[in-house]
Amino acid sequence: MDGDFPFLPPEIIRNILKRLPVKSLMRFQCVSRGWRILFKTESFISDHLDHSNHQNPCLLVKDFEIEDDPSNMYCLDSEMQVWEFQNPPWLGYLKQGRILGSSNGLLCVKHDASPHFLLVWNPAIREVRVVPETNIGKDGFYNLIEFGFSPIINDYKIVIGYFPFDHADVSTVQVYSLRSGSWKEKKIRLIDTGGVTSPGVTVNGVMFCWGYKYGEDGFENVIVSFDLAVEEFTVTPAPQLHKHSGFAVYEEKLALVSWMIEDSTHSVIDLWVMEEGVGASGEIWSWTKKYSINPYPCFLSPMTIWRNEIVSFSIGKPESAVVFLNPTTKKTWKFAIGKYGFKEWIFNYAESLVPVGGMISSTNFL
Amino acid sequence: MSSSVEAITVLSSDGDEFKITVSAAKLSKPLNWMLEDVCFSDDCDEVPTIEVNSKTLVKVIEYCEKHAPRANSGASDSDAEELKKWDIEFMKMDVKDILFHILMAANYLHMEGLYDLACQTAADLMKGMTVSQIRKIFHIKNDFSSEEQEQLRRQHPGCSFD
Repeated sequence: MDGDFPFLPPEIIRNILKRLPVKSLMRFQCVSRGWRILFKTESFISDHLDHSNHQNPCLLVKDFEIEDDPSNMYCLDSEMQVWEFQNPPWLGYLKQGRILGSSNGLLCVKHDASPHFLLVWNPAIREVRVVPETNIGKDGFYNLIEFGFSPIINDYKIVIGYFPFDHADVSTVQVYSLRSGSWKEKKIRLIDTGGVTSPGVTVNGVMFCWGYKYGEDGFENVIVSFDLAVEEFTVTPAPQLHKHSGFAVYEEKLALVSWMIEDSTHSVIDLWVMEEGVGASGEIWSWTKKYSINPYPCFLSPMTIWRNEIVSFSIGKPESAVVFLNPTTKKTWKFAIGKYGFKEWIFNYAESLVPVGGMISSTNFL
Repeated sequence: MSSSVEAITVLSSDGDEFKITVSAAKLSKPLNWMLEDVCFSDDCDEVPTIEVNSKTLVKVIEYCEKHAPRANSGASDSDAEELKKWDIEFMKMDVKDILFHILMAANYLHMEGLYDLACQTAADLMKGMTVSQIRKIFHIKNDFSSEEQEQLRRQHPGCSFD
């Protein structure tokens, strides 16, 4: 860049800077005190995140664990570049852990051996917070751990649900707030439900997961929602789904991707979208079957929705390609990510400057 | 504005005359207001001045003329795709030297599309720059004390102030 450079007003400079990847911003905090402070202000972090979420939504993909092959996490950016996701050295135990949730560039990580060892990690700024252990609720199975963000209270929360050993109808739910840094315990009567399970999804500050209701014919699937701001549960019936289904977000609405294997050869996939909002009382729930994907000649396992397309991996095929299905155009296409066919998980991800209020995990950010 | 007017003449800050079609001028709110105010009647002979230098104004008008048909009528996806390619080339060719002027002009003329495009181009160029190059183009002084630099280096070994 040669030529002359007029003085740009601060709002133009900010508009340019919010488009930079975190890696560049980390480098440019050495430009001046003003820039260093700017990159830590809430409004700039939020502008940067908004741009990142909308203009550069990424996918985080993990291959199934293969012995002695630690480099098995990948990031696919919106320009279809695949990056090997660098595990920080301290996170060697990621081998025995798994990522539970991803929100605004933050990842919630759990050690497989214990539900009580959780981390919140921003890989872009390499900051990690060790969530304090909690000894409440150890008298039951935990079967729900979710991580989500509520824009209303501008806070991230981890929710753990326990299914009591004694089958009492009162369940314990623990909620950790990143802002307060502490756990809260809630005894809830899960409205005749036998418990709640992961994985769920958080849409506009409301977490959705599966619950099981004791009906006359045994268990019945219901959708349990938990408002992260007011910390209250509601239960709603699920639509008529195929054998398998998972929560996702479609056009910023709650969605369900439902699938089955037909004639042992094809996958059949439906996309359901929750068209109406959630009212505090007198809820209007309206599930609409938006799309049915044409039978796909392979066993698919849908994982998430990315840029309005259903992202799946193919089971039983030795290829590393991820299959993208566009519900509106009905087109399908493949793209190779990673080395192996099986994917342990696929998450939506957008890199951000959002602090986790922890320590710098690795000093080498260059 | 008279329907017979198809193009208007404007002056750059350097005093050069430029023609811009009415449909292209509609891409900018301030230009649109000028059309309505100044050229309301056919016998209007006042030539409005736009506070943008000639070198920059040529490019801004080129952008407007290219984008006007789509902005005014809507376009198919293939047109949008073609336009996107054109934008990339437009930013590649010869605007780098006046990129910041284009940014200022797009901001001043309320041209959202060009403003976004120029901001993104600037961001993309910055990715490959050193800290001192950044300071130079933004006219920023290194105001860290040597103690602060030392502290930052301790926190982030390998970080560079140059």
